[in-house]
Amino acid sequence: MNKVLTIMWKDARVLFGDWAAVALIIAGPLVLALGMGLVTGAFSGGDAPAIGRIPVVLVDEDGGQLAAALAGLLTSNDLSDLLAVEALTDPDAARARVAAGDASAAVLIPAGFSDSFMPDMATGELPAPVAAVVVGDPGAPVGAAVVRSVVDAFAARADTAVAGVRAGLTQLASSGAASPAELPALGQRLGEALFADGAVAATASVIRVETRNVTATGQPFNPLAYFAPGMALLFLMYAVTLGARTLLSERREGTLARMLAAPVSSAQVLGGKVGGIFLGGFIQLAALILLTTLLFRLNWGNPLSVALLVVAAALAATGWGLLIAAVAANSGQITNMGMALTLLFGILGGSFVPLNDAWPALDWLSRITPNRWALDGFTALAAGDGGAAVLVPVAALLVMAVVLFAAAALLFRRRQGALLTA
Amino acid sequence: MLNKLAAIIRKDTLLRFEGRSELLFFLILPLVFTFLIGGGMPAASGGDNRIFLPVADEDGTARSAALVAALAAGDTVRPEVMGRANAEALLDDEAVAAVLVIPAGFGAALTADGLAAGQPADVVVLALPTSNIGQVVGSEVSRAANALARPLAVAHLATESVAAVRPFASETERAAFFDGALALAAAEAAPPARVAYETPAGGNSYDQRAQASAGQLVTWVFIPLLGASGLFALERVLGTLRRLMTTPTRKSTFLLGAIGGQYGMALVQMAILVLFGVLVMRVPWARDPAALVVILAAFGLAGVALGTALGTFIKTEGQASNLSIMLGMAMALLGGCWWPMELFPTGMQQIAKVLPTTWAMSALTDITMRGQGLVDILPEAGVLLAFAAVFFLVGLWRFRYE
Repeated sequence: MNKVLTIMWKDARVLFGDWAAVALIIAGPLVLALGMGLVTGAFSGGDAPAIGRIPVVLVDEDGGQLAAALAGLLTSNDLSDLLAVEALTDPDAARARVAAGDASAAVLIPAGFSDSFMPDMATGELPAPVAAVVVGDPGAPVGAAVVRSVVDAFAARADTAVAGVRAGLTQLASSGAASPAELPALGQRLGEALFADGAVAATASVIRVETRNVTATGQPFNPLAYFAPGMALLFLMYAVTLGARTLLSERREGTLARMLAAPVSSAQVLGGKVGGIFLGGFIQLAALILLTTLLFRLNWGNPLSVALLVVAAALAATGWGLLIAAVAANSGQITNMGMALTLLFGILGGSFVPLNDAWPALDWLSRITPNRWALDGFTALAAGDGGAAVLVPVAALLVMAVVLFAAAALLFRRRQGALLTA
Repeated sequence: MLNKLAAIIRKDTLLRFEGRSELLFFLILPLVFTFLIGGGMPAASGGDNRIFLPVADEDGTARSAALVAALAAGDTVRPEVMGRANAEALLDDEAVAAVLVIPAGFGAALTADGLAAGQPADVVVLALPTSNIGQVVGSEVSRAANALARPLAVAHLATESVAAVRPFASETERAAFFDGALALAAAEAAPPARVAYETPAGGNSYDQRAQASAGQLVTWVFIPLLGASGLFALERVLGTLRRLMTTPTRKSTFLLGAIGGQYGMALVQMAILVLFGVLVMRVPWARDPAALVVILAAFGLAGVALGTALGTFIKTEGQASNLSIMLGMAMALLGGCWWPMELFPTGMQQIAKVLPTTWAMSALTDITMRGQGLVDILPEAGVLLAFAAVFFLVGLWRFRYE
């Protein structure tokens, strides 16, 4: 057993003694998780992207009461954390700013906008609508959509208010509660009350829609709890292929043959090498969990369940590493196949972006990847689920490991002579 | 001179493609990533591709049924009413990414009395935190709810505003007035469009396929260009660079050949990825071919120059391989190749301007989405060429045969 452990430890030391490899498998996922954390607002404490203030340019060619109310809403204190509004006078200049990507959106209020909401006091008819224009930058879809939704909501409320006045006047007239002669004055009073500064913007929604992310603790889900394990698992696959490469590189360099010349059986040598691959993957994953906990204050969930998941994920990844080593002809092939598998498993298993929304059909394919199962388990734990949540992922990873170990053993047995001798 | 250059380029191309696995990184994986992240080909017509949305209707009134009907009439979701336990079980199993709950009291809040009480009717979208579907469903529910609520809001406003200037004699009169106003509002034609939405002239709306096609092109071309540093390391380790010293080959000829080979391969790779974008993903790459050629040429130069400079710092091919993957991925991510740059905090957007990937992605977005042309992307091309000049100078200055 000591011999197996010695070989395991030696391989792990070789792996972590190569600063470039360490940079890739430890610093790589840390840097990428940090970048994704910045993008997703994980460091701002929110569960929505921490989008910066959206640059907006505003041109008011109307100068009416409603245009002023819309401009007031866009520049209000309530929206000052969200929008950075700059007033311009030339619509073409505003459009050019959006076209150049310097502003996420331009809000153009043409002359006649306010008047087009005002019904004729005698007939109650509305003039032809004059629409405000939102020019959105297609390169900034979120910012443009936010501005559009603010302007849409304002216009809808103003429109509802106008319809309310018209309905009120019509009802008063049809019920005989007001004479036709009284209607213009009444309409004036109703309109003034509804279109007073800020009143339209303040009109409350009748139906309130709340979107709530589901976590066991009821706390907002930290997006980093998805991306950090996603990146760690991506590079776990690469770490195990680096370990698997030593199998063939030791054969090429003759050190494997030298080991066999010592009083060590081939089973002990292979056991040590496999253990070394596992240990490398385990250390890499465990180190990333520790570092993200310390650096990003990321809560991974119940430590025992996390440890169980780390062991199972490292075993399953080791299985894939062994299978690659079993079919590859040389260490260069292992590197290439390992990197290809790392990236494919990364995209299928959701390490880069969750694909299931766009590709439900890929769900079954993702199940062959350790990334998917381990990511399921890690995100469930981070969301506050108990240890039971990792039972299925752990079982799936262990079954995967057993199947892959068996397949690799079968392949190794066929080429044992070639593998263990120079 | 030309013969030597051709020989070096031929040698490097043979070295790179000596194993068929290189095709994986050169072609297959970039295409797979572009296709998957871009969401595949434009949707074919026919079939119901709407998002399946379990609805737990705990209210059970005509109002809640109307909300479900309004959702069903839209193009985004396919609602199906079921018990809350069943709906939540589907969410727990991740069989769906969002569930709509209409709590008891929804309908009551939308009566004259409920509206007068000033308490909005609540609906809740429960969503998986790891999916964007929740936001899509939330927007769609808001749209349907606003359409449903409009006549009620109009009647409520009519009643309240009239009451403010001419109070009702009794609650009965008030209720009758509300009902009359509601009937009027319900019979009213759909409100006119008060907001027009435009994109810059010649541009189109945000297109995930264009974002993926451009972003993955930058990512997958940039990584091997940085990996060109490994070529120098390999030749240094094998001693072939020292051997070159014994031949009448100038340092500049060798560098030009080595760099030219990688650059040529990058141009071929970019051409293939652009063609894939045009033919399969229907990305408008060909809107301004001159602009596209200029920016891709400048980006390729910046990438290969950075690879050359890196090659003078690293010692082994393995280090080059690892570093190019890590740097390439990180620079692509922070350069807006995976998500639109606007999602980054403002400070991060400024910091990211030190990366060539940011400028390349900005110009490619100009071309594919903003409808910009050659003149508009010249600033980005200029910055990329400046990057190239600086990195080439560093590489030339530090280059050693041993």
